[in-house]
Amino acid sequence: MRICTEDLTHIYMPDSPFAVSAIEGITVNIEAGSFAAVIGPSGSGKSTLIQHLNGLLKPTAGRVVIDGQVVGENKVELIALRRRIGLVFQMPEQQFFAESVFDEVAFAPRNLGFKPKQVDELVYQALDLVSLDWKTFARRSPFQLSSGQKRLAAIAAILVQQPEALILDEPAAGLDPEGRRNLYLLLSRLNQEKGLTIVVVTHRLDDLCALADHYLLLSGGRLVMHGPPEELFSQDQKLRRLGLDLPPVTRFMHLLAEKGAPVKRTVYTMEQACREINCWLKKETGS
Amino acid sequence: MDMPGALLYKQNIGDRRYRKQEVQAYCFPAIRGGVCPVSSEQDLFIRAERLRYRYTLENGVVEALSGIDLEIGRGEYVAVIGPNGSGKTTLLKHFNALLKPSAGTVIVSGLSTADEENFPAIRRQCGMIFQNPDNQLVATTVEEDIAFGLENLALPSRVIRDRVCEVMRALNLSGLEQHPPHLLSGGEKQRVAIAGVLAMRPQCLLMDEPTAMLDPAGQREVLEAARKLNSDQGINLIHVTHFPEEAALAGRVLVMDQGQVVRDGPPVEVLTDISLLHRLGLQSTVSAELAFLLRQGGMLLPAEILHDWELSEALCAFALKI
Repeated sequence: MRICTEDLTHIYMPDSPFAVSAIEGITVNIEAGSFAAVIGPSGSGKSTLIQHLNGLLKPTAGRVVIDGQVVGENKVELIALRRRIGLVFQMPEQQFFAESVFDEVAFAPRNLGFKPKQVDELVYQALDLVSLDWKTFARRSPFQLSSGQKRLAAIAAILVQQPEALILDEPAAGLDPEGRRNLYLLLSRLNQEKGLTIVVVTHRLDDLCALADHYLLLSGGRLVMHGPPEELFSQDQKLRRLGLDLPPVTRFMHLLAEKGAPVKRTVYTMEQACREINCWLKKETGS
Repeated sequence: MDMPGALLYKQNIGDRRYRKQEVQAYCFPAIRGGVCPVSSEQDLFIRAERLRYRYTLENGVVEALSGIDLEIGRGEYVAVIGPNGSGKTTLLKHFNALLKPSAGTVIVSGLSTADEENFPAIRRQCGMIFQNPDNQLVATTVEEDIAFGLENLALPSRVIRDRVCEVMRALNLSGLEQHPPHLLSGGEKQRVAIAGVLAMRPQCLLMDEPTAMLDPAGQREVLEAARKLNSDQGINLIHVTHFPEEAALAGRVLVMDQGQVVRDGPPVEVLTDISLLHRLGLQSTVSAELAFLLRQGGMLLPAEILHDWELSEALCAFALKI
């Protein structure tokens, strides 16, 4: 699914003393099957931008174009659009209400009028997709899961509608390293094996940015930079000015390079860093 | 000869116990002259003894905390790490009497959390900051939200205004006084929530992953503000976090697993125990992790590497030696 915005502007509470311009003149193009990371400091308009992509917010000016179709006002079309583009809010597990994981995930297909047998099948597929074992989890209360499992169950409740694109707002917030790893694995699997277009909002340029194939950097409601992640990681000063940090391992490599070590700065995995350091020290032995 | 207590605090900042004696001698003239020496009992702020917490589910009883013995001194900065579900938040909630022990005791500043009469006193001393600010914002404008607790204490409006102003400046919120909190960004909301607790001047801040939803700049501001409260005013910080870089800032790190404290010590000891952390699915700081990988590859590096500058210096020294 190709998601574009053209000159998108949104003002909250326009024509009032509280009018706040959240995003201004944003033009982006997210190709079908790509994995985009929207980054920026808090208050830069990330959440506002993504809520336009499935028509939850209406633009004050500009427009959103999905697969060549302008997102309009027509309610029936909007409902159809929201099934095709799944939006996972921050801390989605806080919206849990059902008594079992099954009922939670089955909520959407039941409301869409699927027959019980089809609902079973859809829920089964969705839980399987997020690697939650049906036997163990389907009957359990969603409130008794670990934080990582809750997050996965909440995502399953969106995936059950078989969307073509998935938009996630800070999906790793509050997860422990294990939970983060499982989540990242899921996202890259959905992208690469299922071909879902994925848009992730984050303010931490860690492993997540390494998963994405391009980034969109927002600041003060404007799109200030975009491109492949490698490019971003060479912009230490600029990121710091915007209140963002390089991933910790990249920051370390910058420090090492500043001390005069001949190592590459644009490194964002531990393995790459290890290789770079070993290479440098081997060269020292040779000379 | 009258010396303000705050000045004494600053002068003797190097020695906590000495400073305390001086301040107490100043504040309570009756004990001046060393007649009544400060015992270690008075330095103690929180004590948990054989603390257990159980709750019942349809498929049986779950023990979230299973036998915790812990002492936290006044003014300590303690980080708590552990996998999701290890009991970190449950433990934190015992420190301001949001939860009552199923067995064992928790004493906060000499008050038992099992006794309901103590609840108001305990909660005024221990302010809680939750992960999601939406859970603790109540008012329609930022300044009213921050003033909420103070208004309930029936303080004079001038005092309320001064304190709201002070904490808004400290957390870089000035200018947002009239904004409705629900239209702020996640980071701004969390800073408003922290400001609301700080305005109450608690002895202890209980922080449950307070930066999980903040951007790095917001995270730095919050950590810096908290650290200053600890070092300048001696406010206790008990900080549950998933970020090893944050835990490394504390004076003491507790590692929890399956309802127990499995490790307790200074960051340089706890966070360099990489095999323990990995066994629990946790991570250390990037430099400690990188040093661990390099050591596995046969490089001889010192064991106490935790911070970026330590690893970079060790590596440069290593390069020179070859």
